[in-house]
Amino acid sequence: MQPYRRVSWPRTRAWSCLFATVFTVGCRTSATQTAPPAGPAVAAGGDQQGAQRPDEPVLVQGIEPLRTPQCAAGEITSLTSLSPGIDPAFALARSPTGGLVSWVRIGRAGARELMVMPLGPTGAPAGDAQMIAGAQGADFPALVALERGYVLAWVDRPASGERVLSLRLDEAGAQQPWTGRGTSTPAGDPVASAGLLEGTAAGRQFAAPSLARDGSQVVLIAAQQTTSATVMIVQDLLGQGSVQTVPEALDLVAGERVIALQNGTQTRWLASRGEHTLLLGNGASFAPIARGVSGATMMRVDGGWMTAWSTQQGVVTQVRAQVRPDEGEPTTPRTLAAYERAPALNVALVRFGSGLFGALSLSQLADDATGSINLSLVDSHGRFVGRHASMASLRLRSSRTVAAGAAGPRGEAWVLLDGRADDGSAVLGMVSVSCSSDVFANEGAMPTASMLQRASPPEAPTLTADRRGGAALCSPAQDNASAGIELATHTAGGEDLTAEASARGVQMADGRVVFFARRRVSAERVECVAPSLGSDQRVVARDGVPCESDLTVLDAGAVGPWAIAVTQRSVLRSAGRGEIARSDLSLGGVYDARVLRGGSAILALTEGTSSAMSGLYYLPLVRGVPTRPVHVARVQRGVIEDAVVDGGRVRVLLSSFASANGASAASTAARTRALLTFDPRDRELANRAQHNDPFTDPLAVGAGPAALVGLGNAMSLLWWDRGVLRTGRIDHGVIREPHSVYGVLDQGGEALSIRHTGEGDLTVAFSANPVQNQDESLLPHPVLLRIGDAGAVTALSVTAPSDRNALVRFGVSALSHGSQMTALYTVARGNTLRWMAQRLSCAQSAPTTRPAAAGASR
Amino acid sequence: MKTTQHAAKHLAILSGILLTNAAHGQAREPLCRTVETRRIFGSQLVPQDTQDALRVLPLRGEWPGQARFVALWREAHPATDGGTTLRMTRLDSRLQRVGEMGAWTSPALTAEQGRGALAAVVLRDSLLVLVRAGSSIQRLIVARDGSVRAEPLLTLPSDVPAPNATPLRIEWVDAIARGDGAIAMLGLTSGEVRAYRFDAAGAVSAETTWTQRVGGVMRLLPTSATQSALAMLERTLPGQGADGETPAVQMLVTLDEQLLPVGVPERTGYAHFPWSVVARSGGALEVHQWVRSQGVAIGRVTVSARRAALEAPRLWFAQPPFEGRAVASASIVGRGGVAYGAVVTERAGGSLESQLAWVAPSGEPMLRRSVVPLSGRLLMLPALAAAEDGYVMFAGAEDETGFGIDAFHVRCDMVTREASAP
Repeated sequence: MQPYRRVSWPRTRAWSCLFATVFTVGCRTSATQTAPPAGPAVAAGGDQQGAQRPDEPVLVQGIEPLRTPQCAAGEITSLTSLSPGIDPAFALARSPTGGLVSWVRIGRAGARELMVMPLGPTGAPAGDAQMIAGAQGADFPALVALERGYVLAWVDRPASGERVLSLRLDEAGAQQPWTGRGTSTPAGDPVASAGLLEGTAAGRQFAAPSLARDGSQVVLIAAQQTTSATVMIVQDLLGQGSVQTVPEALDLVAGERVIALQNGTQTRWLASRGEHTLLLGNGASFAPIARGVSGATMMRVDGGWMTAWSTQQGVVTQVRAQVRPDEGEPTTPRTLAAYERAPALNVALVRFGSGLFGALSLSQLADDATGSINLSLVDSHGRFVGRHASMASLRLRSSRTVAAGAAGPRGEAWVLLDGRADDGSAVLGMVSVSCSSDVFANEGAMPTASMLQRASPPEAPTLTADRRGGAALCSPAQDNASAGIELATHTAGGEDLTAEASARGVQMADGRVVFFARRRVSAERVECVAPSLGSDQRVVARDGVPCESDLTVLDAGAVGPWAIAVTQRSVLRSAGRGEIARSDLSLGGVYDARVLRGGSAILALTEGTSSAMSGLYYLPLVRGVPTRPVHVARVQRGVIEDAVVDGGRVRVLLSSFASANGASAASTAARTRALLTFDPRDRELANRAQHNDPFTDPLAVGAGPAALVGLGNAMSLLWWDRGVLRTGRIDHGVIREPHSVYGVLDQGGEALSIRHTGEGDLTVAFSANPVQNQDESLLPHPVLLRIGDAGAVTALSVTAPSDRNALVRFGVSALSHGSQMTALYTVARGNTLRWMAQRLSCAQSAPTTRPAAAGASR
Repeated sequence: MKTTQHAAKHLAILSGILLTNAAHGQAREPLCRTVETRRIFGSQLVPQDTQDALRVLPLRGEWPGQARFVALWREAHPATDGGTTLRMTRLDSRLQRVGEMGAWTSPALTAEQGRGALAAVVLRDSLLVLVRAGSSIQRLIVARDGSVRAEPLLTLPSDVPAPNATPLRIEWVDAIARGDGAIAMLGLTSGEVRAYRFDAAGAVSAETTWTQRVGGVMRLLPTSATQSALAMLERTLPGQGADGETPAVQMLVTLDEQLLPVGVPERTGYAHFPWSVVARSGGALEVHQWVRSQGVAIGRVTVSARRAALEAPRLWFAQPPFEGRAVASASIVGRGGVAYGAVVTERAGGSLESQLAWVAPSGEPMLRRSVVPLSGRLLMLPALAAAEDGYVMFAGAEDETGFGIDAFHVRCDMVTREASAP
C-alpha cells in the first residue's frame, strides 16, 4: 500500500498557476445587458448537496410580492436648540389636533431642566418652549396623549434621591389638575404620593418610565431594580394603582424602558436584562426572546405584538422585527434594514394605516456626520413590504435617537431627530413621513431589506503606496541596511510570546529615542526598562524596575526633559540615559491612558460603574510624577486616541467601541469618535463631569485609528478608512471637507499605528497586503509615513524595516526627527522576542502632491 | 438643516449598489429580492459545530402530506439517551412542514461534525441516506411510510493505530442519483476510495475499491445515466492563501462503468474557493466558483458517454468587489433555464451576506448583492431549491433568538431599467 497522501497522479506544481488560469483566461466584467431567459426549462435540482437529475422539476410555489407604497418625507425642521454634552432624551406624543414634544436641557445653573413645546397639526411649533417648574435633575421624559391634553412622566433626581413624577398638561403644554386625583402640584405629581413608591437611594435607579393608554386608562410603568427582584410600579393615573414584583432582577439600565402594551385583559411587557437581552413577559415573569440586541421597541399590531430591535455583527448593524401573534408561534425574525457603521441604533415603530407599519431608523454617521432616515415597511404579520432607505438626509449627532408619533389624520408620522444645524450646533429636528395607500413605488428602484447602506468609499487619494513621487523617500541609514538595532529582549513566560510583550518608543527633542518596554527576564522576574538609542546608533541600557506581568505600556511621550510612559497603575520616566523610575498612579481601574502632547499631564480612562461607561481623568505631572487626578467626564467606554494642549485648553480625541449588542474593541468594529475640550484650570471641572459626555456630540463614526493634526482653527482629524488615510478640518464639532491623502491600492491594508512624535510630526505605519503573484513571501508589506502639520505626507518609506524577520502585523511604528525616521518593530525566535529599531534617512527634496487621477486606483 | 444634497448623496450610494451591472440606456435585468422568510425549524439549543450538513432534496411523485421536499439535518444536541438524531422533515410546495419523513438516532452521530458527512438521494419509493457515524458509514433507507432501515455500508476496523500514525477515518462521502438508482463514493484518510452502485430500492448492486490513493475530498457531479460519471477532486497544495487558507486545485476525474478513474485527472482551473455545479439542458454541467471577493468564475463541462470536455472558467468580476470572503455556495437551475448561484460571504466581524449570480441559459451571469437577509452565525451550509418565481435558500444559523433553519424565498423578476447617461 502506498503511503498516506502519496497519490499516483501528478501533482500540480504551484498553486499560483491556478490563479494564473483563473485570472487570465477570459477574465471579464459582467455583461451590461442580458437577454431574457430563453430555452427549454430544465430540471430543478443539481445543487452541490445531493445533486441529482429529476425528470420533472419540483418547484416551490411562487409568492406574489407585496407592493411597496410610495412614501415621502416632508421638510426637516428645527424645533429648538439642544444642550451639548447630554442626551436630550426627547419624547413625542400625538393628539388629534397636534402634538407635544418634551426634552431635557442643561439650565443656567447646570441643572437638568425638563422642557415641553406644543406642536400644531402640521408639526410646526404652536407655542414657545416651556420649562416644567420644579423638575430637578429631570431625565427620561415619557408622554401620552389624551382626548384633550397629555400626560407627562419623568424620572426626577433631587439631591435627596430619585423619584418618578407625572403631570397632566393641556393642549398648549400648561399644567392641568388631575381628574379624579385631586389637584396637581407645581412640582408635578409624585407617584410616591399614592403610597406606591418611595424616594430611592442612589444606585437603585429607575428605568425610564413608560406611559400607555388603554381605553380610558392611562398607565404609568416605572421599574426599579433591587438586588434580587424588580419592582414594577403600575400606576393607573386616573384610577387605582398597583405594584407588581418580578422575582428576578432585570438588570435595568438607566435609559432603558420597560414597555407594557395592553389589549383587553392581555398585557405584554418588554424589558431588558444585562443590557442586551430582550425579555417579554406578562408582568409577573419574563422570558428571554432575543439576545445581543439593542434599541428595542414594541407595538400592538392586528392580532399580536410586533417587537423590533437592532443587532450588530462587526461593522454591520441590522434592524430586525418579529411579530408575536396572540395565538400561535412567533414569526421568523426578519431583517428590515442593514447598515455599515451604525452603532447604538434604535428603532421606532409607527402605524401608517390598515395593516401597514413602519420601522424607522437612522443610517450611519459618515465622515461629515451625515445620516439619513430609513423607513422599512412591514405588514401586521411581520412580512417585509419594502424599504425607503434614504427618505431624507441631514447632519446628525447620533443615530440612537429616533422617535415617531402615531400617524395622524393624513396618515403621516412624525419623527424626531437628534440633529445638527449647519453651524454644527445641536438641534431638535422633526420631519413628517407619509405613505400613499394607492401609489406604489417602482420596485426596480427599491433596495432590498438586506442591502447594506454605507458611506461612500473614500475617493482616490493623492498618493498611493506604489507611487512614491511627491514625498521625501526614507531608506535605512545603516551600512548594513538589512540589520536593525536591538533595543531589548523579552522571554516568553506563557504560550503566546507576542501577547505578553508591551512597549512604546519616545522621540526626544535631541534626537534620542527612549524605548519603554515591559519584559520578562526570567520565570520569576518581570521588569520595565527604558533603553535609549542615540544618534550614534548606540543603545544605552541600565537596570530596570520591577513591573507586574499584567501591566501594559499604554502610551509614551516626551514631557519637557522627560520621556514618560504610562501603564495601568504607574508612570515610568527616564531622562534618556537608559535609567528608569516608577511612580504609582493614585487612580484605580485605569485601562487606557495618553501622555498629553504639548503639556505636562496624563489623561486616563477608568472602568466605570457599568460596563458601558468609563471615567476620564486628568493627572498633572510634576517633574514627571503624577499628582492628584481630576475627574473630567463620564464617557462611553472606549479609548483615548489623542490628547493635545491647544491654547491652554486640552483637547481629547476619544473613540467608543460601544456597539448595539455590546460587542467591543474589535479593530473592525465601528467606533464613534468624539472630541472633548476642557480647561484644566477650571475649578468646576469635576462638578460638571457627570454632564459632560462628548459622545452625545460625536465627530464621526469610523473603523480605523485616528489622530488630531494641527492646532486652533486649523485643527484636523486624520483617520484610517478602508485602506485609505483621510483627513478633514474640524469646525464647530463637525468634520468639514473630508478627503483622502494616502492609499494602499486595491490589495488593501491594515493600519498599525498612528502616533505623534516630536516636533509636531505625526507618523503612520500600516501594512499593505501583498500583491498576488508579485510577492514571493506573501507577507504584508510595511509602509511608514510622516505627516506634517498641514496633514500632507512629507516623507515615506516602503522599504523599512528591511529586516525580513520583522513581525509586521504584530506591530511596526515609526518616530521622526528632522530628516530622520526610526522604525520600531519586533522579531521573534523560539521563545524570545526582540524589540528592534532601524534608523532611516529621508531625502531632503520638497514634497509635492499629484492629482488624484494620476494613477490612483480607488 | 440641509437636506437635499445629502439625500441625493445617499440615494446615489444605494443606487450605485443596486445598479452594479446595469447597462447604459435601457436594459432588462433580473430584480431578485427575498419575499418571504420562513423558519423551518427553530430551537433555543444552538449547535456547537459549525458548517454542519443541511440537505434539501426535491421529492417526485406522491408522498404523504403532498410533500415536495425533504430537509435533512443533524439535531443540535444529544437526546437524553446520548444519541443524536438525524431529522428528515417533509415540506410541501409552500415549504410548510407536513410531517416527518423519518428520523434516525445514534450515539455515534453525537461526535460527528463537519461537511461531507451526509449524502442523500431520493429514489422512486424511498430516500437513500448515507451518513457518517463514528467509524462507519450508515446506509439508511427511509420508506414512504417513514420507516427507517439502517445498515452499515462500511465499518472501519477497530484496530488501535500505531503510535504517531494518522487515525483511519472516513473523510468524505457523496452520492447522486443515476438512472433509477444511485451511485456513491467515499474516501478514507488513508487515501483509499470506495465506490458503490445502488439499485432503485437502495440496495448495493456493486462495490469497487480504487487501486489509486487520493489525497483530497471528491464530489460527484450530476451527470445522467447516459453520460460518463464524473467527480471533482480537491487536491491541496503547499503554501498558504492570502486569508491563511490552504490552497487547492479542483481536478476533474472521469469514471468508468465500475466507477473507477479513467486516465489522469484533468486540471480544471478552479481553486479551493466554494463551488457548486448545475446540470444544464443539453447535457452540459456548469460550475460556479466564488473567487475571494472578486466575483464568480463560471465554466462548462460538456459530457458525453465516454468523456468530458472542459471549458476554462471565466471570472466575472463584481464591481466593486464584494467584501469579505466566500464561505459557502450552492447552485440550482430554475424555471426558464436560469441558474441561480448563491454564495454566503462573511465579513470581518462575522457579518453575513448572500450574493447571487443570476446565470442566463447562455451562461452569462448578472451579479446581485445582498439578496438574502442573513443574520447571525452560519452553522449549516446553505442548500437551494428551485421555485416557480426564483429560488429558495435554506440555511441554518444562530441569530439573536436562538438557532433556526430558515428558508429565504427569493423572487426574481425581469425589469426594465432606465440607466443614467454614460
